[in-house]
Amino acid sequence: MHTLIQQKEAVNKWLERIGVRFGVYKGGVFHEQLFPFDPIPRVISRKDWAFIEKGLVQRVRALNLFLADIYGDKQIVSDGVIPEEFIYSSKGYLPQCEGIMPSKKVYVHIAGIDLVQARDGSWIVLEDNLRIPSGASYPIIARTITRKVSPHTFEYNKITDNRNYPSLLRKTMDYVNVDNGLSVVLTPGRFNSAFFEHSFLAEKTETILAFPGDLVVENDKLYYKGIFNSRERVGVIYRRVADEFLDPLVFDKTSLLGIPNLMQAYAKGNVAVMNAPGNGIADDKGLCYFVPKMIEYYLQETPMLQNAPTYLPYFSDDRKYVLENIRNLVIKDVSEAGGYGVMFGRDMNAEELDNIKRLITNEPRRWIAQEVIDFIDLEVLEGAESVYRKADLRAFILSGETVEVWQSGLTRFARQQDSFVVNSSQGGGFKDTWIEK
Amino acid sequence: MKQVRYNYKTRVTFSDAIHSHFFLLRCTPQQNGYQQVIMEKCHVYPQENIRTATDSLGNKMYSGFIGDRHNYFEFEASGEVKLSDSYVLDEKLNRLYLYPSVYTRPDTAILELLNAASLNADDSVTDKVVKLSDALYRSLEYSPQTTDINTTAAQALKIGKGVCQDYTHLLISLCRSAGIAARYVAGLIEGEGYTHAWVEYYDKGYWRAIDPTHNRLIETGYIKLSHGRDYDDCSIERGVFSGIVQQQLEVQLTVGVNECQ
Repeated sequence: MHTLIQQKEAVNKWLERIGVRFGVYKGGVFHEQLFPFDPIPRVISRKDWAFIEKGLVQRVRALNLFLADIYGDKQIVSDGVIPEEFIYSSKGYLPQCEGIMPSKKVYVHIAGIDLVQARDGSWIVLEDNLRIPSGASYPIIARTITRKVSPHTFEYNKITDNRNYPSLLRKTMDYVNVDNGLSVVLTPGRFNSAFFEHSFLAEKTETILAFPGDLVVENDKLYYKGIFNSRERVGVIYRRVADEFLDPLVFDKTSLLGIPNLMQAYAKGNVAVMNAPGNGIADDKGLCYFVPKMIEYYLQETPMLQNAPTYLPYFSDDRKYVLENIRNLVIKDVSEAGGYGVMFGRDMNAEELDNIKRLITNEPRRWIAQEVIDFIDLEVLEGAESVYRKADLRAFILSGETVEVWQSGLTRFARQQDSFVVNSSQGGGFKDTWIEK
Repeated sequence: MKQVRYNYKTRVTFSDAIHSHFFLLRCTPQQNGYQQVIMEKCHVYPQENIRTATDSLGNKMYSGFIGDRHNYFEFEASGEVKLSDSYVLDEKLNRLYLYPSVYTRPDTAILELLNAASLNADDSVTDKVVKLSDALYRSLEYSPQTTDINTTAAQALKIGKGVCQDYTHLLISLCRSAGIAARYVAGLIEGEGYTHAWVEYYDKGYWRAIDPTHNRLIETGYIKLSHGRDYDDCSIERGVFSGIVQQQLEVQLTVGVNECQ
């Protein structure tokens, strides 16, 4: 551990040199930032991890069954488990995906589930990311570099190797691949916040990094355009382009990032798209409340991982509670992501509180409220000094023939003391996550 | 029961040649309990390989790709349809049509208009829809070129003017706000010279239709092409292409609906 701390600067220099960065839009201008790395790893015991792992697999299996149900018969709605309003009013529900069965029935190829550890040691789910969860590349690179600058650390500590993520990803891609076609990673381009990761993953999975103009649909099949206008059939596309920009003939018509008629090729089963379009319904913040119910409904199992205690102002009892206890709660706008639209009652002045109460009363479906979880602080180096900061863990779960949890994850921490917001777009840093052997 | 012949042709002209043109058309009549397709043709110029598919809402689509450079794009749909005397569709309700969509999301002004229509709890669904259409008809003036294809229901009501698309969006918004399932229909009618839009509303197991632009219930004479949550699900032509083009002029060359002799 001591050598690791000494190597902080060396590792961060390496990260800078390799170009590990992400982009942020501030006031409409694109900036690239380095993602600050903290050398003290988060260590998770074998026992804790075994529990987390089981809980995550359970959760992802249920979410996958939920998506197949929602874009099919909607049994969970007709059985009264989830009110239909939560489906049809959600921005994440895409009627264009109705009746489409993705290759091998996999919707959630890559799930990024954000967890925190409470002071009593229990692990709690904050949110599911089932569309384009990003961040897996950072711990892999950090590990690779750390091993380089401090090789002994990994001799003395029994740590599971995390550099197999690309091979897990490739295994998922191969499993859903249609007609043994090419495997491609589609990036919106170098001005995307995660462009670094797109190129990294394409390289490590030995797949093709494609830009929007490189792919074309003809006769309901997807092709990669090579030199001299050659065409090569694509069997699976790991797209890092959001649903709304994916196909300008079906979704946002002004999109330049999409592939016209991709949805038709997909609907006809001629290409696998990962993650499946329409997954936004399952990671809608308003739906998170219902995930434990999905586990009971689809798997007839008891949920292992709990959600943060959540209130839906949609239900009048919950609304009453939220309006009365707003100072102790965190309020989230269900239509926002990336740490935007998150408000802590205790930080708001009287006027702001009145305002948010009015919004909750007028549009109850748009908001959720959660108890503020007192999650544990992790040790972070600030200069030579060690300080304690809030941190979460994004675990990555890959689904193909089996559902597997990657033996690591992205631990993000808040830069400011007492801040609960760890998102990289809000200035947070990251740590490696060690799982004991 | 009457049999009608329709013909419908649109040309889009580009100021300069374009290429890599993808298109998606929903331009031919639906087969349903009200209308029976006897014959149909769809031609696209420049002629290319056309694929057909059905979208998730049940509409027939034609799609294709024109790789070579071209200065205009034209499609023509024609055929014959047998229409029954009453516009009634026996269909299970997709409950999606009870909820707001992008173009039909109500604002305060729309909700005030709903109040002003003073619906009674014991009115039949059709009575309610007629009252809403009456209220709307008094609040919106028919006026081409004041709104465009991106205008929402709320924006149109604020302007106070609009065309069939705006009337349709507004009536859908009013119906859904009153708890009545309603959907957008794109189609053709006799003597208009343009494509048209109207509303289908759900009443005890059946879709029925009303034309808010003319403020009348629809019995027959209308040819339905497609339906959806709002205009966005029913665009007759959607396309993307490459090229630097100054203007794009769309001319509806003909829309004719005639009774067969």
